[in-house]
Amino acid sequence: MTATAGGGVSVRAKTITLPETPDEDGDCPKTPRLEPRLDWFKSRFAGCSDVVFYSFGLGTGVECALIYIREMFDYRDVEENLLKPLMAFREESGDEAERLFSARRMPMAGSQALTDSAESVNWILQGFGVLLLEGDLRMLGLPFSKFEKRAVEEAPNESVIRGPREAFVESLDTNLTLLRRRIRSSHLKTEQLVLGRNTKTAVVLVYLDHVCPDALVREMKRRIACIDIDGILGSNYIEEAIQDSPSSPFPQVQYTERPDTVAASLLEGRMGVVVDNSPIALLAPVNFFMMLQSAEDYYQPFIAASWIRWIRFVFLLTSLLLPSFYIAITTFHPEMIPFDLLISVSSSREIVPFPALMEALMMEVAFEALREASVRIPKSIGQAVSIIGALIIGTAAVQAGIVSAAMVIIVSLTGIASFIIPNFDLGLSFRLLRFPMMLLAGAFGIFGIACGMIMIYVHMLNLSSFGMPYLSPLTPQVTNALKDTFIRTPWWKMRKRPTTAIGANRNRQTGGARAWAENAEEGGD
Amino acid sequence: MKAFVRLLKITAAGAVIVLLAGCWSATELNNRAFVSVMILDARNDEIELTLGIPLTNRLIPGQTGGTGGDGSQRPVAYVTRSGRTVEEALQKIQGDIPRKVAFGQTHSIIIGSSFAQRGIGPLLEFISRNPFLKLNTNLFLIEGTARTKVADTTATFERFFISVLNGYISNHQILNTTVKDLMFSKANGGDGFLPILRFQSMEPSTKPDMTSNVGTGGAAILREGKMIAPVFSPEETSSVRAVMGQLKEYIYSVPSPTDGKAIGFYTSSLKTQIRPFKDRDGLGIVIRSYSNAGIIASDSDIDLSKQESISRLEKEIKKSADASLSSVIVKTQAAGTDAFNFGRYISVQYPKDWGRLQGEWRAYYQKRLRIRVESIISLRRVGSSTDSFRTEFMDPENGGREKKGGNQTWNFNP
Repeated sequence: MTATAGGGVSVRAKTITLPETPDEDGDCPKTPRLEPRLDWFKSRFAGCSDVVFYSFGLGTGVECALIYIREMFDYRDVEENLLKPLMAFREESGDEAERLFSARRMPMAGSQALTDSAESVNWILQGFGVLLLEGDLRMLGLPFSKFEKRAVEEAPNESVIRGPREAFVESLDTNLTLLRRRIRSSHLKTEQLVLGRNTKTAVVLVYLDHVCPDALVREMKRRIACIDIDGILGSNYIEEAIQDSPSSPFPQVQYTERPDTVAASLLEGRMGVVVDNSPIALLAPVNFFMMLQSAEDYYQPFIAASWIRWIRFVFLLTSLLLPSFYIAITTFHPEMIPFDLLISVSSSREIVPFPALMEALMMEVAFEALREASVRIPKSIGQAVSIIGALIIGTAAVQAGIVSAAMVIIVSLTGIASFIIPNFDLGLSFRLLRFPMMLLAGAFGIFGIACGMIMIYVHMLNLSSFGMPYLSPLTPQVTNALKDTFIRTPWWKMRKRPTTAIGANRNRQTGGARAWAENAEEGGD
Repeated sequence: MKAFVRLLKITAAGAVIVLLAGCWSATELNNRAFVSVMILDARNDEIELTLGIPLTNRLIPGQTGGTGGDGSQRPVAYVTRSGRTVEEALQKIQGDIPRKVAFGQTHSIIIGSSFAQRGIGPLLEFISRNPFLKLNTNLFLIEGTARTKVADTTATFERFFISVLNGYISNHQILNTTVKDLMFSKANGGDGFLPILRFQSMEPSTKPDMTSNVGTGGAAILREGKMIAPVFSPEETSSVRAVMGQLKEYIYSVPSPTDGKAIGFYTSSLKTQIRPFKDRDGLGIVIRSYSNAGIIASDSDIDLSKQESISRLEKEIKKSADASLSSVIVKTQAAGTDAFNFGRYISVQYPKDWGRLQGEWRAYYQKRLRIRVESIISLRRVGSSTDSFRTEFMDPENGGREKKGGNQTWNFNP
């Protein structure tokens, strides 16, 4: 079975079909009378204790009913500005309806006349109010929702020292304003889709239409259009559906909780996906090196930022390979260790009853468990547990002769290293890959590590994210993009956008940002 | 699914590659006996092999540092077995110790003079076929039975005896001969030098049972892989090292050209150039030794502020250096061994002549090869004082400080 998706390209879809939501009540009776329509709405919302049906009479005696969801609708505001004037309305002109539905004559921006009952139900579910009027088929939609949202706070997981602090929240509108405040351009497009049969979650594609290639926008829409699911409760639902190789341990879509990171990516011609009720936005395409960049890189002095990037690369390899190297060298190639170090290491291993591989696996698994526990633990007892954990993985284990002191150093260094990777998903994948590497090292020594690295490399070469090779700009080499890969070039030298942007709109700045320095030299004497 | 199949294929391919390697020899650290030093002696037609193995079980953390001084808890074991060949003795050792003998950490091989006199051929043969023994393993010679001397010694400054030897090598304190040097010279007939380790008592009063402490000695010469007389003294060995370009720093004294009193020098950044030449009288070798000298101490009244006296001193140093370098070369010539391997220079520069001479090279070296030594000395630093301290301050009649300082006097008792 094939289905035609958003981009007009036919794709193979699963043969599962979801049953249509049964609509037992049928449509709302097409009558200007209030009573049957109100009954229809009441039967529709039967069992929904949070839906309020408020019947009242206008000053002229016409019966009305306002339907809304408690605590989602800004009742107070509507009462003040609509209900009070309406109840005080005593003219005998009989054009109450006209007055209400004419946008000009009521102080209610955005209110709209609704005729479709299904749409009215949707309006109510979104937290809007719907006003029914005796004697008129139309219904007045009042888009004044007001519900509790979390305030914009500091980014908890991608904190920076010099950069902006704001992070996305769960409210889609707030998130979009955070973006709009950063890019005040009509080129910033926010296209909304609604996904999830039950959740009806708003998913917004954001991009700059003059920078982002059309092909990317089309491809993104094509992939998202294939999603037909009962609910979207987080951006990961979408991420897993749209990434190129879902069975790869490496993430192929970037996530961020920082609006400035999204804004910077949009300016590079990438696309963002903002999902309602999720404080995490998705960015695509992405390559391996982008995930080793932190927002901080662009707010710090470029020399420091470049240096910190190198540290990140070093510790990326450390996090993947250090335990494996320790195992390989101690069990296969001890001649590589300087004599005095060897004596220290081997005397510390003297009382350990396990092979090095076993020792390393035990410690790494214990460390992973400790790390997972530290996330799940209630905050009040977290400190106690971390102290116990540090003891288990630390001196107590060494003194009991279960593990060697050298292994404790290796495991803790590896643990620190895996947190240096800015993208948590990438850190997770390296944490996972560490274990097969350790097994390879335990079985074949450094030769095994080399084989493992080649396999990982080949795998990464095969990956791509929305058409962008995963290891670009290194393989295939894009010289221009290398300026922001291993080093962070100063801003005044980043004259061109990366190749993710449309070719015609590649220039980012005029390049005269430091022209004043040249002028000063010329005009100096 | 497709990805899964591909992963399976990659794994299978990887497994096949891995099978090709055949390195299955995983051995835990605490199942290895690391040989830190290998000692070879000869006794009654048999080779006595001794392996020095650090006992890591006596160095458990918390007490790291070892207890080297205590005889019962020494962190090194010496295991000796004898056999007709090195490998036979090794097999006997392996048969008796519960851990796997690992040669990967062997940095030094010590040869007893009895073994050296019989010829080091079996050793080189053993090393060349052992993948774990490195070519840069250092060789040392001990006169007498090496085994007992090493086993009885104390490493005062280090945890292990072997660290002392490594220190000598890394600080350029001893003539450095590696297995590779002897492998090269094996192609030339097996001539070369071996540095000698001397043992002397440093603290006889405190440790009567610990007899000796290791130190550097002179050097022995090898002819056709066998140790022969004479043995070079430590001073001569320094000259040998200078010719071989191994001497980096050296302190010596030379009589002053003015009054014959000693002037102390140190030499740094010594560099040696060896060039073969050929003329009507046949082949020859020029050894140019460049060095920078500085004055450490002077007893002489020579005025170091004059350029002329600097040149005179340089000539004096040159004379002494030329003489000492020549003397060791003459000694090797007398012994009929091309221990410096000058033959290799000839073979590169004049391959035809080398082809002709190779068979009787030792005789040619002994009788006909002309060797010129040219020391090029530049006296760079004379110190901050141009006069001898003694003449300047301690000898008032000779223009001492009282005269120069006018009526200033030191008054310690007011």
